[in-house]
Order: sequence, then C-alpha cells, then structure tokens
Amino acid sequence: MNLTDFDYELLSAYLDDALNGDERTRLEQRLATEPDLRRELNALRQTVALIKQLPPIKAPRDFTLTPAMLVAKPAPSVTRIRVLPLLASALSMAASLLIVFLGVALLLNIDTPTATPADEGFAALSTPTAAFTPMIALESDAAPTLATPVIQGAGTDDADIAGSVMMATEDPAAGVMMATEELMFDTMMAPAETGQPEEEAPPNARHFDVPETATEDPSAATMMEIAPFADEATEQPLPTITAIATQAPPMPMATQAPKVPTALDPPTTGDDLLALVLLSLGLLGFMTSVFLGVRAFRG
Amino acid sequence: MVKDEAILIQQALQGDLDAFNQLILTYQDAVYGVAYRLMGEGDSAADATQETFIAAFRRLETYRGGSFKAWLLRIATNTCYDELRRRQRRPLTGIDDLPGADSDDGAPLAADTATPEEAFQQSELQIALQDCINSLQEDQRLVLILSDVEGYSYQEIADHTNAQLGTVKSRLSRARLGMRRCLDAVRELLPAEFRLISDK
Repeated sequence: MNLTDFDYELLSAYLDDALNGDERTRLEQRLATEPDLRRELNALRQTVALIKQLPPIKAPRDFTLTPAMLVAKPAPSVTRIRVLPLLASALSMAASLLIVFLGVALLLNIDTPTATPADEGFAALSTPTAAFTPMIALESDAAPTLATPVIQGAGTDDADIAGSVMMATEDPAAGVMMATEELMFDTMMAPAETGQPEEEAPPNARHFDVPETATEDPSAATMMEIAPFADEATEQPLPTITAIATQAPPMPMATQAPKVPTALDPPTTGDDLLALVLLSLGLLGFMTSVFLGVRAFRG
Repeated sequence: MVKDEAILIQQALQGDLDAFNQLILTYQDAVYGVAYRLMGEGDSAADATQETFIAAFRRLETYRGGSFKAWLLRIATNTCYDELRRRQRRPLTGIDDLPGADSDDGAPLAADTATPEEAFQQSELQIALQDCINSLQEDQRLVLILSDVEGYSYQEIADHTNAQLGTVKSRLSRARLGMRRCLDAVRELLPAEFRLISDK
C-alpha cells in the first residue's frame, strides 16, 4: 500500500462530502480499481464513526461567576508557585550586587592609596617604591610620623626639614609623600656615601626619574611641602645633600611633586586580579539572576 | 443569534453579571466539552472552563457579533493551549505517573464522575479514544474535535482557527490517519463492528 498524504486528504474530504465534482469522480474511479485505497477508506470511515460516537460531555458543575472571582486572580495556585523562584532570584540579584560592590571597593582602594592610613600602607606595599625602601614603607604603615626619625637619622637636624616632613604627614597624601620623601633622601644620600658624582651614578638615575613623571600628579600640597625642603637643602651644613641638590640644574625634586607608582600602573597585583574576579562573578551572577527571575515571572 | 442572547450580551456589557451568568449556563457544556477533549482530563478542563468565562466577561467588549458560542470556544481553545504550553515548559509529575505507582497510563477521564453517562466515559474504549486524541498534535487535535466531535463544518473550523480551508482539510486528514493508527494498537477494545479497522 503506497498511499500518499494527498490520497488520505482526498479520502478524508470524500467522507465529509467536501470534494468538488471532478475530484469526486476521479476518486471513485480509483476506488473501483484500487482495493488498498478502498480498504483505507473503510478504515477511515470506521475511525470517524468511533470518534463521533463519543458522547457529549456535560459540565460537572455550574461555572457561573461571582464578583469575587472577577477581583481575585484567575489562577491563584500558579501565583503561589511563582513566589519562591521570584524571591530566590531577588536574593541572588542582591548577593551578586554585593559581590560587585566588594570588587569595586577593592579596586578603588587599590587605586587611591590616600584613603586611610591602612590603605596608605597597603598602597605602599603594593608599589615599586616599597621595593626600593621596604623598611620605610612598613614604618609608614604602622604610623606616619615614624618617617621623621628616618630623615633625622640621615644626619639632618634642621627644624624646617623636620617640620616640612611633619606637615606632610598631615596631608591626605601622607603615605605617598612619606614614601617619596624618604626615597628622595635615600637617593640623595646614596651618591654622597659612595662619593660618586650624580651623572656618573647610573643606579641613582632611577630616583630622578621619579619626579619627572610627577607632572601628572595633581597634588599641589605635595609640591608646597617639598619646595622649602629643597631650598633649605642648599643651605644645609651637610655637604652630601647640598652637593646633590646644587648639582642638579633643573632641580626637579624641588619644583615638582614626586609621584609614587600606584596600582594604576601596568603591573597587576593579586589584589587587582581578585577585584576583577569579584566583578566578573558578580556581574555574571546578576545577569543570571535577572534571567531566572524573568523566566520565573513568566511561569 | 437568538434575540434573548443579544439582550443578555448587552446587559452583560453594562456590567450585569446575572445576565452573563445566564449565557454561561447556556454554553458551559459546550465550553467544558471542548476543554475536556483538549486537556484530556476533568480537573484541568474545569479550570480552563472557569478561566474562559472570567476572561470572556472581562473582554466582552471585544465581541464583534456573530456566533457567541464560537467566540467563547475560541477563548476556551486559547486558554487550553496556554495551559498546555505552560505544562510543556514546566512538566508536572503526578503521583500516579511515578515508577511503581498503580496507574492505568493516565486515563483521561475526570475522577468525580457518578452519572451513568460519565460512567460510560470511563469505559476502556472511551479511555483509548481520548488517549489517541491526546497523542495528536495540538493543531490536529483541535480540528478533529471541532469536526468529528462538535460537528463543525470546514469553513467554521477555518474561521475558528484562523486557518485556510486547505489547511483545515490537511490537518483533519492527518488527525484521522493518526487516530486510525493509534486505534490499531487497541483493536481488542473495539466493538465487533469496528474490528475491520485493523483487518488488512
């Protein structure tokens, strides 16, 4: 038996007397000569008869409406089921936003080391400066004024110098400044101890590179604090400091605020990575929560 | 449309719930019958019927004349389809469907049946027929019910389903062929005069 869908369509319409004259004539001619087609017609006729003998169904109760039905939701059970997924989705969104907030907060703390004393030490530890003068950095982490003895210990007992440093510790950029000033002192002391001229001391060149990049630093207060220190340095009885200060023609340290490299610079620390991971996870979780919430709402 | 029916519709449009309830009493058997055949069991059919009348009252201003019964059945059909699609997205597992449960493969008849007519519906043949109807695709199932159960003409079905006449013919043919093959598997349940259906 190789009847096509069209053959079955003709047979079905034939049962309903829905064929036009030509279609009906051609089909009846085929039925007279094709027993398979005839058998299928009988089978379909019996099928339709079986379906039509299904009794009409009586409603099991009255479905009349009351005013309360028109006020209430038509399917309260469905609404009840959707509450939990929506609540879970909302909580997930809140948790995801919290993770994002933590990531942003961590990232901002890394980028702005002047926020709190603890952050200052954190920033100092996370910058190359700390690598140059680790001891000073650790001291500034504990207490900003600890930087002063280091300077005094370098052989300077000038009150202005000490005062300038002390004032600098009151500045919001205290952590950066302390580390910078001590770096400068360290720098200036180094050639004196070795007795090498500045130009001939390549290892110290890096110290003078630091103020050159400081033109981008908006911290005017830093410059104001450093300037008198530099002027005074030319009058210092200490030959080592004077020599270096006067030998540097442009005197970049005295006129420009030194900038300590921060986490904004290319090297990525583990904290940067942690912040990025938190941000990524938080955003991913938030988007997933929104998707699940919408899906739950739609049912 | 009967004159009384038009008056009742006008009164219902003005918020007269009693007038609309009279229309419900007139058509609730037809609506429930279609819902029952589409949903395959009584509880879901009752829910769909109730939702149909609530939706109809709320959207009564969209009725543009013609057969009020056909308008109601269109709402019932859409309500049933919405529920069936919701079930497809979130399939529910009944206790009877769990492994090891004493189930007769989901007999489609309502459990709260007590009349002789409903008792007849629960016969094995009725169950087999409804199971075969349930196995059809949704569009084929609707056309089969409207044609062979409700007795609608091709044109009425086309109007009801917003389909072309040729599409209605094609769907009905496929639905009948599907029923014929499905019933072939339960030939022992068929009455003697219908045994020929499986004789080849």
